[in-house]
Amino acid sequence: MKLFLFQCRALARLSLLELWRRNDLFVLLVLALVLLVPLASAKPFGAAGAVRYMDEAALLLIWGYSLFIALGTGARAFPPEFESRTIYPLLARPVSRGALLAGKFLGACAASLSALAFFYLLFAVACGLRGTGWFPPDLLEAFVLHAAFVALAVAVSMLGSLVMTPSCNLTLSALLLGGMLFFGRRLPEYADTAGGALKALVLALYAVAPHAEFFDLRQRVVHGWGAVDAGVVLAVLAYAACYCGGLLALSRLALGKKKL
Amino acid sequence: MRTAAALFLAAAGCAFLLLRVPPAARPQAATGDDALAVAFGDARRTIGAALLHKADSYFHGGVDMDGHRRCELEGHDHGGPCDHGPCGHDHDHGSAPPSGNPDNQTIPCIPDPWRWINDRVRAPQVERHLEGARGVEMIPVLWASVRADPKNLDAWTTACYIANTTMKDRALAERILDEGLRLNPDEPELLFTRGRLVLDGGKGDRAAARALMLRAQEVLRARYGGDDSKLTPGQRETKRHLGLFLENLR
Repeated sequence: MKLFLFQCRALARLSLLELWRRNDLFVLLVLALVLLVPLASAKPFGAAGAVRYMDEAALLLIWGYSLFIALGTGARAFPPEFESRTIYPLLARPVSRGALLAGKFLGACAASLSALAFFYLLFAVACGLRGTGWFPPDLLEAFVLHAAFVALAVAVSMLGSLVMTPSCNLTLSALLLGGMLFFGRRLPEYADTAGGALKALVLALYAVAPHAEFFDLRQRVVHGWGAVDAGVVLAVLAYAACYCGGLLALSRLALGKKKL
Repeated sequence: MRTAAALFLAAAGCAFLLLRVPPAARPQAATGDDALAVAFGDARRTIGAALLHKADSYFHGGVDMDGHRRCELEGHDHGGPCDHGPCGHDHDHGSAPPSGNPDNQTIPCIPDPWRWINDRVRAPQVERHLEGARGVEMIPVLWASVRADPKNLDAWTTACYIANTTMKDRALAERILDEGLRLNPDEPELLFTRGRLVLDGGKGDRAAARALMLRAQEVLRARYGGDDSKLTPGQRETKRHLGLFLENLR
């Protein structure tokens, strides 16, 4: 067990270092500043004092960037190891396939979460400087649920990386998670308007697809509706844990079937 | 040879379409000279309408009121503890739904944990409006709406209403309407709104208000003659209100 944890920690550390060395984060940060600074300095019709549109734009960017980073980090976990054949010495160390998967997952999560924490820290500082509180409870809750979403996105892309080509994996994972984030809640309504096989398909998708919209507290944070009940947060975290567990089990199966 | 023939046919097709289809009926036709108009063409109308819808959601504290009404009509649970049924479905909200379940049949209760979570994670579906100076939160969204589509008269009049009535900022309302009239000169709905702003609930300049409203009526008559069927519902409403106001301003 101690060896397993040691191996996982070593693999996770590698993923974390890789993300921060790649400078993706800083490129995204500059892009965010390029978008947000003109927005912040705008005075529509000469009226000043509006902040919600800024918060909404900033949180939307954080969601987009975190999805981009989580999918990229998860999708990059295995293919480079296969391509450069470093997977062979890694497994010969000996590191079990389970430990390898767990380490890669934890590493990708740690890397993506560090980027997410960085973005939320900047957002919280901006809120604090504006005088709306440094870390209000709803923002902390939003961060916790967003972190669970990031773990889910990593698990989705990691499974995809073992069964699909990288471009196909990234495209399908982004479509699935983005689609569920924006339309997941409305799927039963779409099913009502569809008929026959399409209705069954939409309902099946609603039942099994990852409900990214559960983790989205942007509306509450932006419009000041306050925090969600702790029971609901726990239910969403339990959902994320179960879903990630299921995806990792499938990933373990896919990795086990790979001829290495 | 084949390429030349294909190019000739394509050019002939384009020329034929250009001659046959009037500019106003062309999809994605740029109706202005600025970059937005050229880049987005007619899609600007959709963007402008979507942003106006967004402004409405801002007014209701982030709640999508269309979704809220749809939930009510469908008899769905819409946030917060709802004690009408054991599974979160609300079978009767005080009025019979216009469609569905007319015979008061019991809606089958299928437990839906995903909806249970969704309803609690989203903002509560209760009426809450932006009031006072907080109305300023809507202004950037309405500004974006009219930037996307300067012909979106609803966005201009809504922005003016929010500035004047909610925020009590008359100068801002005048600025908005002046800008709207600059981009849409002689637009009856904007002239009428300007007239009401000048009238200021009866405390303002009655003569100036009357002149603006007469101008609006004149434009409406010149543009559509006496044929009310050519008017949009908004214009019909404007015409009716114009009549009432002008009657009082005599």
